Amino acid sequence: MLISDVMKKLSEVDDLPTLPVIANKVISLIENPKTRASDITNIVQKDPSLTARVMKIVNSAYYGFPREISTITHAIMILGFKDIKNLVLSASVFKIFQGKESLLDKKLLWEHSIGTAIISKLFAKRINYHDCEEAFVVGLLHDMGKVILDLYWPDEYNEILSEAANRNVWIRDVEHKHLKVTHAEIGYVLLDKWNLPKPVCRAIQYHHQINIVPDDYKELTYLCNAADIFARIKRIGNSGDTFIPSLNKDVWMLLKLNPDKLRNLYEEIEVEMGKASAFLDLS
Amino acid sequence: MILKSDGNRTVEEIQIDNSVDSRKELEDLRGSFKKLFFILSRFADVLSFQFDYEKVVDLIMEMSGKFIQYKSVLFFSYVDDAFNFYKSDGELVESITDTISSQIKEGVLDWVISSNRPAMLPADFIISSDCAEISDSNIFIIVPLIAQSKNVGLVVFDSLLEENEIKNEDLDLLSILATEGAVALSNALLYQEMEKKNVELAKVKTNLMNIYDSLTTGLLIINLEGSLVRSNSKASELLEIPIFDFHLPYKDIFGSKIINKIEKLIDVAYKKGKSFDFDLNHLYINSSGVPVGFAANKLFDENGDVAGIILSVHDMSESKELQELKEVDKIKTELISNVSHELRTPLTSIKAYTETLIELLGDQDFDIDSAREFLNTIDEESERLTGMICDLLDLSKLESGKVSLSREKFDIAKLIEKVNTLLIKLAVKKSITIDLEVDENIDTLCWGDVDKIRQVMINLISNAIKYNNDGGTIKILLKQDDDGLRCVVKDNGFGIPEKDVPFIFDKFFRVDSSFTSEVSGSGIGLSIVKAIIEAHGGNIKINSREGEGSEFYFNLPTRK
Repeated sequence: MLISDVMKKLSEVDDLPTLPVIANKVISLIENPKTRASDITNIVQKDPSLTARVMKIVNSAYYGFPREISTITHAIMILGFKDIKNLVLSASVFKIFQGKESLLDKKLLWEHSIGTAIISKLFAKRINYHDCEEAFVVGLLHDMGKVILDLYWPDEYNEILSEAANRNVWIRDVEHKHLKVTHAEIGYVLLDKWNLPKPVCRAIQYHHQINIVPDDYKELTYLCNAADIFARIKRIGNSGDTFIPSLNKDVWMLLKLNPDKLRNLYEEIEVEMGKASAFLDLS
Repeated sequence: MILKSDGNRTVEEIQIDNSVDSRKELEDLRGSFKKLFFILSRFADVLSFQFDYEKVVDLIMEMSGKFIQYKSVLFFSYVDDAFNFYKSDGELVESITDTISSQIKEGVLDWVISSNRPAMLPADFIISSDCAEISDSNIFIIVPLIAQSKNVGLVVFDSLLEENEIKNEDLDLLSILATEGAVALSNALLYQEMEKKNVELAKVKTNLMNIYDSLTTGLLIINLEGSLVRSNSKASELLEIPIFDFHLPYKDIFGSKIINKIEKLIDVAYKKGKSFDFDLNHLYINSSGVPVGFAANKLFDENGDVAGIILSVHDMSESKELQELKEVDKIKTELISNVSHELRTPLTSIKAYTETLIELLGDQDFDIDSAREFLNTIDEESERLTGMICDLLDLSKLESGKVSLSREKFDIAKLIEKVNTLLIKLAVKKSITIDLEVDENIDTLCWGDVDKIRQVMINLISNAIKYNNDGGTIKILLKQDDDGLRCVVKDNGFGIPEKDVPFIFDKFFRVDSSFTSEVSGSGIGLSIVKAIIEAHGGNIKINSREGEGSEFYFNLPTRK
């Protein structure tokens, strides 16, 4: 299959997963400073199961709020609009990860995505990145391309996955060999279609090619790349690849890491992941 | 999100999307931007010029009021790891302050503070429902002010907001307010602290300067570039410079003598860590005659790097005096031991002869002639002892300046001739000839104490006889000189070894050689000579070579 074929097919697929209407609406509402908390509540509440999933995380150990939060409005008042947007997005995207069984273990991939999201946000805080929630979204969605490939070309993708496993090579290399595109690029196309912010789409497009990312998206891409690697190091879920890429020097510099800080960082990741179990089982 | 330029949605898009009331929405957006820029510019102002903590607090409260309607607002400062109620505005319900204060470190409030972002809380999250003053519908807004991960304060609003009216921008603006406010506050706190530190520093500095100036040792601090950075008052006094607390190359400050010393000291100190210049015989003496010693030490900065040199400047007068006193003491000790030795010699013979005499008196064969001989010897020795004691007394009187010379005009040539006749017997014994040569056409009249000058001449001529070989010659010359009359006593006798020449006029100094051991003498004659000549305002000197003879010469005044 050639790139044009993939892209063409991607554009032809009628039922390409759309960002659920509610998540889409929430994202666009949050762009507007005049949006009221009650506007968001009204939209989200239209999907009771989504509301339940969001409230589950809101009241989970991840936030550790000492009292029960009973309404979406209260959740927004307490956690902020952006966090709620992310929760809605996570709770919506989760559905897409619920496809039929294949070589790609989507349960583990979801766990890996949540791990990457949480670590990415952690890193963003450490380097005072201007929008930590954006870092979370990038981490969460960085492997969406894999889910799409698995969803629409299950046979080809099964082959790709088994070839990568047998030959002990990177999945993205096999993807590129057979499809001329990688899950990163497919992810980009999809999220662009979903109207997600450009930096998010770009960071996902380049998350395996950090040496060619345009300067504007460098920080966010580095955060995603680093979070992906640390999620693998800490064996949070599974991205499909069995081995762990090494951390690029520039990324290392951006995060101002050193071997002394690494131990602390591992502990922090463990603590955060311990609190994040609500994200893993959103069904 | 409102500041994001590369977001997907621009103002135009929103306009197209929401055709319902696009104009209104656009105006709303403009309003939001205006508010935001207003807050930012006010804080930028304050950040640049306002370091007063209370004024910053006032500004935060004032800014909040611009976009939050509240019944009351409370500000809590964060000092010494605790939040304390600082001030409030609006209709304050006291129970709220108490409740907030008591809950700050627990439950919901603690969660908000540690989450590091503003939150809005329904009233019943904080206040129990039986609190009559608060209606359940009240919304409390909690804004933790955190700068660089440190709490700096907390703003709590009892707001008039309604749950359904809370907007996206409210929380965004609160976040910006919190961030900017926290920075302004922590700057004000830093400034306060700095002021406090400055006052403390000034105190420490004053104390140090007082200590520094009260030191009895002078101090100079010279930096790596060789500039004098500081000096204390003692250093200024000893080195006769103004007090410095500014930079000026030390080579522009001091005279060449000090510069040479300091240069060497600094050189050695940089190489070896320290150096001294305390050699009492080569001290720098300032214009008031104070001898000055130096010590140099490396000066280190707070990182332990060499930053220059500390030069301590010492008043060495006491050390110098001490050294002189020690020398005097040493001379005294030597004198006493010499005197006792010299006095004992005649006493020993006197005692020995006396004892023998006493024994003889009891003897049957008492011989009156032997007794007379003994008594003569005793008499001679007593004479010698008396002479010696008189000499010593004379010397000490002369040296202490207690003797007043009875001066008169006298003819020194005649005086010398008289002395010669006095000593001729001695000379003849050793076949020594004495010649007196007087330059032609000179006046041999002098102004002085005849008896004392006679003593001088007897001493010099008898020495010339005593320390001379048999058949030797003595020449006495009288010449006219710029400083009066010059008298030279020259022999061709034993002479004095070179090493002993400088000490020849010292009390009890006797040249120790095979030639002189046979010659008796007390060792004070030349000291007396020197004292007498000096009392006359003259000077006595010697040229001598061992084995070739000696030449003493002195000047005497010819008129008053």
